[in-house]
Amino acid sequence: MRKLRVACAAFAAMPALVLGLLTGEARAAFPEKDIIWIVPYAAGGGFDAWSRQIGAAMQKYLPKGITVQVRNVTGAGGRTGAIALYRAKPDGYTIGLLDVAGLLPYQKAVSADKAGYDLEKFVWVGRVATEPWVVLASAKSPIKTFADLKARKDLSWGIEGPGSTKWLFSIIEARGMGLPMRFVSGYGGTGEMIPASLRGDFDIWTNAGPAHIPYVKSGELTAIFQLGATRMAAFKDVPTAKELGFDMVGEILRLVAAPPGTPPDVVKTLEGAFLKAMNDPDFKAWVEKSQQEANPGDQKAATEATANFSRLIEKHMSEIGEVLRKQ
Amino acid sequence: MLDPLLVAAGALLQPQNILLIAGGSLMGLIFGLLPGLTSLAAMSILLPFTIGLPPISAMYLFIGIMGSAPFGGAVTSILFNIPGEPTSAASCFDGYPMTRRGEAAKALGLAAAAALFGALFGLVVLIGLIPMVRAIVYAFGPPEFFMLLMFGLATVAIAAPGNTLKGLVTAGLGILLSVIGYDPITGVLRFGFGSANYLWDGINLPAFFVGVFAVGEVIGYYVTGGTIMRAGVKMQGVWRGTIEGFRELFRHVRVTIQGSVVGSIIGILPGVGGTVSNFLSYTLAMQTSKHPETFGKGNPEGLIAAMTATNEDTGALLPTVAFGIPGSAATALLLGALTLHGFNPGPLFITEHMDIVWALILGLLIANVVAITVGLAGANMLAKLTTLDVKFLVPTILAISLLGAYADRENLWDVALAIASGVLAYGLTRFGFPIVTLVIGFVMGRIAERAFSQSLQMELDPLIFFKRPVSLALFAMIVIVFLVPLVRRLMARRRA
Repeated sequence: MRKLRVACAAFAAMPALVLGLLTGEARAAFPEKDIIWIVPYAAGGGFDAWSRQIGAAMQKYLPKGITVQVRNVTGAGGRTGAIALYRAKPDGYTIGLLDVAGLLPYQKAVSADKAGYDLEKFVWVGRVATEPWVVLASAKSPIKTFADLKARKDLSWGIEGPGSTKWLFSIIEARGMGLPMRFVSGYGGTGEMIPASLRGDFDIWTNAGPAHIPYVKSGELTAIFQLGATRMAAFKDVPTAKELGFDMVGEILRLVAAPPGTPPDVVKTLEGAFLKAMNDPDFKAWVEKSQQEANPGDQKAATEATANFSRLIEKHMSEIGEVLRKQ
Repeated sequence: MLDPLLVAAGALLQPQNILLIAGGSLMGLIFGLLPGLTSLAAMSILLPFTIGLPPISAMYLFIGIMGSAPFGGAVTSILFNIPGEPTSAASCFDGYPMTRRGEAAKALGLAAAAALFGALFGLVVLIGLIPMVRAIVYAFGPPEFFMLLMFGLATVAIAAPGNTLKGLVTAGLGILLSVIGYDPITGVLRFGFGSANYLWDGINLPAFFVGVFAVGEVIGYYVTGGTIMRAGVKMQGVWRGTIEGFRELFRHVRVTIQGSVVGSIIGILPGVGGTVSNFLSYTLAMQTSKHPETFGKGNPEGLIAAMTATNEDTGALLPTVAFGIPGSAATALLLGALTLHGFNPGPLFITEHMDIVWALILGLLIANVVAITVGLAGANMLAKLTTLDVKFLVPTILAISLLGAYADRENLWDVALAIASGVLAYGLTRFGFPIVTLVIGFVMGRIAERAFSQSLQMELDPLIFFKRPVSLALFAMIVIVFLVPLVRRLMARRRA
């Protein structure tokens, strides 16, 4: 009887042992083929540009001959790409750049099951950038400071539509800081909203900061306050929400993710190459030239950032969920 | 101002750049020709491959595509009544009847000349108007957009002469179809019909156009048989026809300039694309014509209006380079390419990177020349197909078109949509309901609604349309357009 039990145990352990040997071998060799990098947005956008530049830099720090291939998997506001990455084989050969601020609210509103992905289960590789949200007004508008906003009884906010990230952050900002809010909506994107703001379609609007550095520098848009943990280098004179006395941080999180279950040592290799790429002189030159702001971070920083944002969303879930569930 | 021009011109002399621009132009022509496959698709496909190129070379490639696509798209519109690009849809209405009369060469020559004139006009506007871009963009807010679109929609009343009621019916149907999908104002899904997500973004325009034009037309061919060119008509010689087409342009100076202006202005305005611009120009030409009833029956003015307004992308370059705001989908992609190559397009771009701006201007010129020489030669060969028995054309066109409908988003439902809208379009035509008004309604309905809601949200004042000078002026124009025929009729009656 006892013999049988031992035999059983040995038998049961066998596959694990074999698997261990096999994966051990695979690990030693990782990576031995090209890595696919999923971008959930079309070629020509910010996520695409970041991905291609980082991918090109990462190749320098991976074994010779291994390339990083960027694939645009578009649709449903980035959700299609996120689902594709979530369901990919967790072997490190598929990774991707995700927009946590765009994906998390929907997941929280409809549940991870229905959304098709669970951001808290992704294995994070690193942080590319955090782009603080900024509240903007046309320079021609009388609104210049937070006090001007507070004094208003009626305040129109420009958004693309209910469910967009601009809508989400408008709610978080207005409710969190006790500002009046009504929407002017239906714009096709930031490109349409800049001229709309300049010609005065609405009082204020909110968006990730870096895209607006040139307009604030040229004096066409006023940045009223920003929602980063610290002030952006380009907006040194603009107060943060924290400095105005509100405990809130709102940032676009561009994080590199691997599918749930990707082995830790594989992730470690990817993280190493990723961090070296973020420090690569050619990559840094691109960041500087295109006036972006990188904020490289390791696996831990990326995981923490997701958890923090998750808490912020949960705080405002009742207002946000109503609209998102309808979509 | 001149140094950057030398840089751009110098870059143009490198064999690599010559190849890129020529390759881009050919690709623009081919993608322009194929229904469903747009120049936008060509640009998205090529974008990742430009990463290793110098920025100026990448710009030459893209501008090559953008410059030659409008003519490529018009070729199939004129020969087969099937727009290769959504922006060349309005070229069908008068170009195709010309082909059926045996005037394919003339129509193609005219279209090429009109597209070239529009592009040149757009370039002059581009260079001359840079200081005024802002004024134009600021002058057109949502209320002005709304009035502009109402002006276009008002044409429905005259677009179907003798048939106003049926015209209104299909226009209404077009508007209804256009509002399907997720409403950007309220966040509500309208007419989703329980589809998982297929209808969320509305009816896909490229597939819908493939259906309404290509599939609908092919069914027509199949039923009537014969050849596209009417039996007993003699086909015009290529050279004579082309030259006659070029000459025709100068007989219609007013329409030519009017169309170029409409295209340029629509291009400058963000949020209204090229599809609207060619219909708006067409409807405007119809409204200002003394013989609107001849439109849609092979009136060269209709073709000129539609083709000159394809310079919308040239106009769209203006806000793109002047303040980093893309005026169209193609320029949005161009902007993405600039970001990829390490530029942050914004208000300072034009002063810092004038060489890129010149490269775009020079590239556009060359692309147009390539499109017209290579394009005209190729198109006239294709024109011979119109003398072929349609039983050979039906399967070919159907296969290419449906493939195009699929390739746009790689969605099989788009093929089903194309077939369904083709059957609808054939049915409508069969019973005398005009397709023109259906398409005008479809193209303008949704954005008109959006502009209307935005206007109301802006000030919470329904009278906003009459409180802003530009919007009020546009409204006055609509009133005048409706009054002129009435007054004319009254005058005629008094005289009688």
